[in-house]
Amino acid sequence: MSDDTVGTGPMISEDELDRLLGELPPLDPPDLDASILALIASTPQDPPSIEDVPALPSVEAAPEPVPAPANKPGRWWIVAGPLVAIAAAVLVAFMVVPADDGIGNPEDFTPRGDVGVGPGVDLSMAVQTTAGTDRFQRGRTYEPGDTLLFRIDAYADGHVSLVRVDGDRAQLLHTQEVTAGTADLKTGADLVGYALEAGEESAVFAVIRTDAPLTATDVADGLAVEPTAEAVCAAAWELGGRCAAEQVEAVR
Amino acid sequence: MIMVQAGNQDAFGALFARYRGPVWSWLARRTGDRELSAELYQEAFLRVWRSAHTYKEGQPVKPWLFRIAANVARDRFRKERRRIDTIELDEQLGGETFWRPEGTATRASGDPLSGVDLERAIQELPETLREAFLLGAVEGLDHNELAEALDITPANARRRVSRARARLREILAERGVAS
Repeated sequence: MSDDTVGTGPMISEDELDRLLGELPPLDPPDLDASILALIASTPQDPPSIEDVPALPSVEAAPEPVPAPANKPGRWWIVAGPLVAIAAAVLVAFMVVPADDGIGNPEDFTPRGDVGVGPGVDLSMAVQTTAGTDRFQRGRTYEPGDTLLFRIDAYADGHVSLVRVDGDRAQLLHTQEVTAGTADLKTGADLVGYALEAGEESAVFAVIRTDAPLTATDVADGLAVEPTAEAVCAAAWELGGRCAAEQVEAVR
Repeated sequence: MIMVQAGNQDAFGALFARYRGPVWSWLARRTGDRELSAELYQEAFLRVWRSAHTYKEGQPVKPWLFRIAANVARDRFRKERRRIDTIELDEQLGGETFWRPEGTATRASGDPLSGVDLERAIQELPETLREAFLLGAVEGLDHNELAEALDITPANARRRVSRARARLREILAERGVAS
């Protein structure tokens, strides 16, 4: 990751990279033209939705919009659909629920690893269960189908890699470019979730902040260590990363 | 495109003929999996047809179309996210993938780099950098078009392509294949 570990040969130039771009081999589409055009011929187009209708010209003397009553859902909820509702539910779980509300010990949310050493990263986790979304509770045994959600607080710009380490191997689950501050791990507009499976063994979930993104090979080679938060974060340090991690217990 | 919106299938055929190559190349390199790419390719053009009403007159067609293709790919990955990363990891560690030419020998020291080397290096980019690089540097979308296609800011689009380029130069150097 660092300059002294990158490269057994000289860096290629930008011009050389551009030359290689021109040499990318052509990729011919598969012979699906007839089937695609037949599919189109038998498929009706979707009708325009309300969002496609151009807005009316604004009127200078238009009245101020009246906020919706507090006990009535706003149009945003109607339009945004269930995915946004799920995301909002998670945000509420993270942001609105006070730390001393009796749902777990606030100490449980202290990240493990080498937080505080250099520009690092903190990890908070939530869990979607059949009962709703709640904070992750260290030491609790979760059920199959419960889904882990991840929020990070990066102390500097860079990339965050979500990694899972169990007794067998280290897996890169997700990478995300981040700026300093708090961010939910997402793919597009959706939260990254990890659904637990029956019989799944105990594992460490770690977030590692680096200047350049880690590759699957970096993770598989560099983080296949004893599945404890401390060991994983120590290995992450060797990769030039800063780390926070949580142990998730085996699933029934 | 206006004719496509009006339900003209001949116009769709012309649109398809024009963009089938770029969309296929992008999906194939984006996923690294020919079979999956074929499914996404069909789904993307079907969605182009069905969602033609979302096109705004005067809007550049290419980023609009790639935005649909990107959403199709993301939707699929989202559905399979439960184990998709494990699958990707396994493939990178030893699985056969179609972009890897058969019988490729280990590079001899001093051999010039080729597009095949870059092809392999692209597959090692993180997902977000790979999709941006392929759209920007390979398919030729400018930063504003790239931002439109990926639903990010132009500044972020520029940064992703720049970081992808830097990472590719690193990857090629790590392998000791720089000329």
